[in-house]
Amino acid sequence: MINALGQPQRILLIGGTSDIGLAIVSKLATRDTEVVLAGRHLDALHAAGAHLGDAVRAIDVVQLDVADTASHAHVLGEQFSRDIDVVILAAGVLPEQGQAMADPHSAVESLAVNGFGAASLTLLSHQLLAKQGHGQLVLLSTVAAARPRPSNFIYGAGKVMLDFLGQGLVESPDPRVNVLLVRPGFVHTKMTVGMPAAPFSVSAARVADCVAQWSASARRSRVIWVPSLLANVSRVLTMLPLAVLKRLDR
Amino acid sequence: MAPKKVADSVWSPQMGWGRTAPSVSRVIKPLDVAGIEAAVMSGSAVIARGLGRSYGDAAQNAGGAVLDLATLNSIAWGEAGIVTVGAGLCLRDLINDAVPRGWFVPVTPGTSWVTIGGAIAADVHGKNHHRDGSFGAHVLRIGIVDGRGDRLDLTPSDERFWATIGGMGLTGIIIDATVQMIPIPGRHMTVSTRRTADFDSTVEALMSADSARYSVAWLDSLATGAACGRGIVTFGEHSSDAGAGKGDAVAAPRISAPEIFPDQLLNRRTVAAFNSLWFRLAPSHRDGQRQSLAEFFHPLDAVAHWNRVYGTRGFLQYQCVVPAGELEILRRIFTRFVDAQVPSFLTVLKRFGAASNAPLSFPIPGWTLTLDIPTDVPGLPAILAAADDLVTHAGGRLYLAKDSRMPARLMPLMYPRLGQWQAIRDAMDPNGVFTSDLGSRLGLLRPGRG
Repeated sequence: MINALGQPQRILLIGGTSDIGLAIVSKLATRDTEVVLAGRHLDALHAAGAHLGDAVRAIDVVQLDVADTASHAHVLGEQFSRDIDVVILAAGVLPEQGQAMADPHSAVESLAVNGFGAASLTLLSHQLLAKQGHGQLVLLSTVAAARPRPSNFIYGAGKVMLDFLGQGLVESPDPRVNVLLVRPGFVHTKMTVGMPAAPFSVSAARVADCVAQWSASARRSRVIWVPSLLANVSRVLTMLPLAVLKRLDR
Repeated sequence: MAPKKVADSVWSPQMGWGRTAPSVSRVIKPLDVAGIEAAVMSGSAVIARGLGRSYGDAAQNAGGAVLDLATLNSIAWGEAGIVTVGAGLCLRDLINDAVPRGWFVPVTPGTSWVTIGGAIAADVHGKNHHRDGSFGAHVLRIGIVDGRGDRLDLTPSDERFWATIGGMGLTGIIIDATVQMIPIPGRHMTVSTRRTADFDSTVEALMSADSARYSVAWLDSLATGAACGRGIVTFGEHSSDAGAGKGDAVAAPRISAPEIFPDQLLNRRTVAAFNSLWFRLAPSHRDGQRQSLAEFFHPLDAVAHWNRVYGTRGFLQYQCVVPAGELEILRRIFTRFVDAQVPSFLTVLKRFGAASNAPLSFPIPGWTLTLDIPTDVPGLPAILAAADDLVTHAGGRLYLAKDSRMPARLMPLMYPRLGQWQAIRDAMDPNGVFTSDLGSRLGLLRPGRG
């Protein structure tokens, strides 16, 4: 159970090596929190767990292939044999746009993770949290899902599915589950290293701060942008003529 | 926690008195004992909820059901102040029925807005603990529906009786209880007041008031230096009614706090101003003051919903007890709160007498310190964690009816008879029907149960 100070007892991070996900875990967890890191590569998960160190009570790692939707029910079901207070869905891949366009197969592989895989984990997590009777579901979307941009619309196409589902869950709330749909701008992480930073870029820690602020006294589901200014920027972006957008996206 | 089977219904958010960490439950209002038995056998996880005065999550049941037993409010008087009352009966209604007959409840907490079931489940204590013990010491019989849906009559010779006293509602649904009331000469109190200059003189005044039936100290939690621990010690006795009025012994609230208080209204500045004023307004030495029962026992009941003054973020109450020989550790705990300038306007120090036979009953012989704290005080988690360490080190414990945040790992350290209680509980509830957010959070329910 999450206590009066907003401290969770057990957190599941799907995408257990994600910089943003781990930043959120670090922010939410206390020395009495148990953390489960789920992801494809156990070695990388163990390394991520070591990074959390003694800041948490216990770290468990579990193998999960986001693209393998058939396995999700079993893996998540096992984890939900004990209460999970917060599920953070931070799994995702960032395909190189040019390469993905040249190789449709690789593009579809990214869609299997960012789209179908994320959708499956979102719906299953939501269902299991509701069955448990309480919990928070944090979904990491992106500003790239707001408007297709020439530089990353394959990435955005996958994230749109997650974003749409998340928005639906926020707008049709189940009172047992508080959903936070997070739409960050460009975040400085190992996934984006070497890429030119877009305007309104933020750190993973900043995203974590915003999630923690909501989580500490979550009374309802919400959509947040990080930074919050992006909400207005996004409104403008969706109305921009393509010619202007192309100029901005260079 | 296994999935909780609950029929399609309207989910209702539930919170404790501290207005923190809400969760949603289905509210069931059984009309009679048969309705309770049906609820227990329905397949839902259930917990009884009284008047919601536990500060944390004791009467919350995320995804399950809470039973509102307000209809079980019967009062049946027997001989010599023995009364059998419904579990949903409010203590104030019992007091108002009893006082004209010359009887009073043997123990009352700081509010009369608790049910008999809640008073037993939390084994509440009052200003007379050093003399009379906690509520359970005066209970002669408990009627309960256990996890099989069976109705049991429990008496003090039964270990299930003691597991239910202080058992936070997790051993079954309390239906009714037979209680030995205490005789009183009238509806008033004779009260003495001593203003004390520091922690030592507060402690000394409390110890010298041991012979009084009721005693308690309010502390100024923000006074520092030589004034650290200054306070107001009050002690009282029941007295006769010279010129007493008619009407209820415990009247209804005079005013109600609205839902408009901003967050952080109670901060260091405002609480320091209140504490200082409260201290200065108290007489330095007064004997023989006449007070009504409500003024003496339940002063905060005059303002309904006073918990709203803490705003939307709510507050918590930190109540610990340390053994009598560990007063120095209690002083350190208090001093740490003072050093951190934690704004608490309701800080109480009290002597406890003998412990109960109940494994999860809070009081042990010693000193109990209570602070009301807004949850948004900067650095609060670390301040409380440090206090927890000192309490545990001293062999003390936190009060489950007040707790909303203690780590589960401390539970067996603070309550060494937890395993014994769990074994009795599991036998009374083999299918894990009775669950609560507090039970889940503190690991009171065995893994995989509930």
